[in-house]
Amino acid sequence: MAQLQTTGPIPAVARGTTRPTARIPASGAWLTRLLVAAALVAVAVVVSLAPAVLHPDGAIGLGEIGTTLTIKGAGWVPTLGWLGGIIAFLAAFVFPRDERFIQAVTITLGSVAAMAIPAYVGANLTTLEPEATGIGPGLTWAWALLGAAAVLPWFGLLTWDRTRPLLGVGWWKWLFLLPAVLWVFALTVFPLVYAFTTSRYAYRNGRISRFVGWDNYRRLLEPDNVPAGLAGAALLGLAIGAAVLAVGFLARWLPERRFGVEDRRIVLGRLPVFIVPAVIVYLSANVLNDPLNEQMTITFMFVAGAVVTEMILGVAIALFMNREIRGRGPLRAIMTLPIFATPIALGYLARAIFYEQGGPVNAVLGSLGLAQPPWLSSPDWAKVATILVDVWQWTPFVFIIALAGLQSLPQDVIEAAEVDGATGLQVLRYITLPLMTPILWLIFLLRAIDSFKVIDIPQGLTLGGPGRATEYFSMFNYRTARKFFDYGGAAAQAFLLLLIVMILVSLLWGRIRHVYEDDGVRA
Amino acid sequence: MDMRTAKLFADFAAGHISRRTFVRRAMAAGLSLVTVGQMLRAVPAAAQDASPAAGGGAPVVAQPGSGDPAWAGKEITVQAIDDSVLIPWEEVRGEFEAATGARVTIVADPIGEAFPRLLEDAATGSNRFDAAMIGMWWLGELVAGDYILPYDEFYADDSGRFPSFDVEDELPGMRALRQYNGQLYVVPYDADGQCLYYRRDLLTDQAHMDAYKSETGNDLAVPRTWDELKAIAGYFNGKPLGGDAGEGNGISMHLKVGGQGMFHFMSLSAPFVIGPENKNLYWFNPENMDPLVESEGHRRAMETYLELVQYGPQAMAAWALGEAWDYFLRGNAVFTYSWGDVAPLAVERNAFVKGRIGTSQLPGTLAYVNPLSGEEYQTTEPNLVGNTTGGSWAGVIMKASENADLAYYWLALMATEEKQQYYAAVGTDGVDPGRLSQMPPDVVEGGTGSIDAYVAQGWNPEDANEYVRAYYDNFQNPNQLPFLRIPGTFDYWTQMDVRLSETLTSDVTPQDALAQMAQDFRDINDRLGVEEQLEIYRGSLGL
Repeated sequence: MAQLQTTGPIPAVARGTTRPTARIPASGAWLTRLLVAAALVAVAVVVSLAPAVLHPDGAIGLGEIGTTLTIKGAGWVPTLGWLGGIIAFLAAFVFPRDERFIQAVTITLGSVAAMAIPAYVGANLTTLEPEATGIGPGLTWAWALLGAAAVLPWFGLLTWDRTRPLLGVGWWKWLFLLPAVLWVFALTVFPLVYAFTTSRYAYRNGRISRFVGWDNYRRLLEPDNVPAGLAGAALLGLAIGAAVLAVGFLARWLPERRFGVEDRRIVLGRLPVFIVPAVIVYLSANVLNDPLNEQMTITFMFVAGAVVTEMILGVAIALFMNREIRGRGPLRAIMTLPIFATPIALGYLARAIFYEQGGPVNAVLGSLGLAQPPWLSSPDWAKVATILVDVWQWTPFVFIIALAGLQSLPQDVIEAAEVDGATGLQVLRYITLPLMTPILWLIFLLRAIDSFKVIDIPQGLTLGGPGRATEYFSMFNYRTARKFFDYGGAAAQAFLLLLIVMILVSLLWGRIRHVYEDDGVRA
Repeated sequence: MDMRTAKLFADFAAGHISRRTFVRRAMAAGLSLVTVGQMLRAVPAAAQDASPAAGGGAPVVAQPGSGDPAWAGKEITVQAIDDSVLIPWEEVRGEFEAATGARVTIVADPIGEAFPRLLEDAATGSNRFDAAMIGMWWLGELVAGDYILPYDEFYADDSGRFPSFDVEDELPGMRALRQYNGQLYVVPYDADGQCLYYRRDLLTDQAHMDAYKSETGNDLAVPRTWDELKAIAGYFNGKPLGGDAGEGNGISMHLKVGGQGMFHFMSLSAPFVIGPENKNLYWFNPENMDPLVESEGHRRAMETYLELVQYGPQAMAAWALGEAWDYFLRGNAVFTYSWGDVAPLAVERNAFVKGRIGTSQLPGTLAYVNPLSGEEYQTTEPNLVGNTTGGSWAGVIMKASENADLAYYWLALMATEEKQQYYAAVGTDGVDPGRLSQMPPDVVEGGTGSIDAYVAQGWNPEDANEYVRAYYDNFQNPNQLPFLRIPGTFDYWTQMDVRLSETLTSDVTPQDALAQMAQDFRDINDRLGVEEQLEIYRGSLGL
């Protein structure tokens, strides 16, 4: 495993830091940071305490103005404002001292973005509040303080934090990165944050109607079930933990009647892999509201059913094809064809294939004297049908990557095992699969993430029915937004899915890293 | 122009002769190439493109250059669903452009995406569309959001600036859908309502009549109540009906979630709840917006619905509209109840059931229950209730349109009697009859149309007469299932659709399904605001 053993520290030369780092007095840099932070904190305090807009009936605070902006279709302004403020604040502290150029740029851009609120309100005051008499001290001071925060880093660079080179070593590298960063910010970060803004509002007749705070998130839960659900999840976690520990201990202890520190570390390391998914599934089924609990449960069923089947079939086919057989090339090409089909088209195609009266699948089953399942009119069979279509499309993906992994395995190890008399099964069990473990986890991760998002196959095949039997989470989420125009609720649902997928992905990444850094090396 | 030239031009403009024939006859008549060229340009594009199909195209109503000169060079964008009802719009586009000198861009969106796009366009202020073809359940959001324009002012304009039509020409049930708070919002076009289609050949077959009599003690006839329909469907279920499925079924329905199955329940349940003593209470209590769908009448309807489904193939649970129609048209079911497309499609496709189809108003009940008071009313004659379930696709003018008058011209042109008589008789375009001018006077009281329009399209006259009569009875009925026209209608109906499907495919009891449905309705009310919903609900009922 030579390629896995080169994970030690990278020499400084390789990191391209051969040039001496400029010596920057820490006190000057910290003064800049503190002043910027103080200005931004002052903005927060001022806009909380002082009126943002003056009105004959009394002052209007920034929160209310933010709500008005959002309701009038300019929700991007407050979103950009507070996001910019947070970015500027974080930038004051997260960058190392020698990255002063990008730090200054980020603080300035963040502060200028935050100035969008006072600027926009000032320019559209009478549109927002027809009877307003002027901008209040809250926004005026915020404008001034944000302006100060925007120029402070540059002022510091020129005065109390002056060094050579002025902008830090290799500052120009950020100029190459900046377009990409702005691109990601504009098309990924900002929409995500704007979705959060959306999730805090109710919609009516296709547009924002009122601020509802956390109500859209509360609506995800069934309040009466939360205490019992949490207690049940805790008990389930404990039970699974105990079972994993017991089985792990026995598995490690039995062969050599020994259980050392390394064994304990390995067993404990596997606890989250079993506990976290089980707890998530349990909580989803017992704490979320109806029908979200049902949608989440059937989504887990789909992910588990489809991905596990695809993994088993894909790896099996890859093992079969990883040998000299006649027509191997064309066969591999043909096997990958389903990946190129459009999933929605597959859904419609499958509708014809699984048609219950005279459809080809039932016709074949009938001609063999077998039962003809109600593929589309039974809730259980409809789930099976959607899983089968997904398996048909994505097994080749598993197959391709698994085959590539198999072909990159060191043949000398396998040949040595064969020379030592290992059978094919023994080679598979003790050499091939352990060496393939990292890549198998990676395939599992990719397929799991993708499966959580399934929508096109059920949309074409079952429209989510019968009942809600195949209305998987993404379809439910899509309908909430696009059919029922509950964009706020849909945004909250999307964040719930994001949270769950992030937890599971983190878990899987941890597992993959563990395998690479530990099991892989040991293998 | 002399008479011969004028007739030649008119035939070509109406699409009765092809371009090639037009040019040949024009030359034979001694017209110069320059003159022929001018005439070709003047004729609407649709007419020029019309193929000399049997029956010809729709009559030309707007003569070239007859529109307001101020419209020349303007452009409007109209949205329509990408479905059969789009066909006439495409056909008439050329006529509109030739008459007004304006240009119309038709944006055809898939039916599932059309409303979200229209609403987004209006709510975000993009205002790309000047007019749109809408389903009536969109009306709640469009009116409450103040996105569409009442057209009373244009309608009242009798200067000849706009093509004329009569809103009173629509039958009362349909007419009520087009208005909101006493203002005209929707320009008539399609008319949807569900009627019963039955196999006339089977119900009048002497052998079956005798067998049915001996089996049940009753005469075999067109069912007047849902109980009668169940009995007849049960009798025929499993018997060969002449279709290609071998053993036929009592009924064919579309019950797939998302396949408009909830309309079946709405239409069926109406006479269990609505009657002379209760004309409005079906969906919500108009005092507090509390859902009424848990009532005894709804429960009885649900049980009848579940019993009825037993007389169709199990696969129906996954059937969308087209599949249910197809099964009936191929002669495999005795009954289906659906929109006005079924009989025209039988003609259009020359289906097995052509000449064998009877149509009648949907059956009723001998008792209905007021959902609010719980009081039951017995009737001696079947309590028949009309319905306007479905889209009744028709045009609205967007409030932000800068060419609202031109947009109205477009919609009014489509609404003229001449166009509507033609399109109602054609099966492929999805425009169904709901107007007196589409019905002959010897069949319905007050009718001003002719059965010839139907016969010209290949209809069997008896089929056509029954068909027209059934829709007249349905829309003329003073008792109508109230159409839900409030924000969130699609949400309410989707929950109904899902709960119905669950009841059909799982162990959920009718009572539980209705209770869940009511809870779903309450949740939607809470989300959208009970007070706001109540106000617009009352407005939609004219209260």
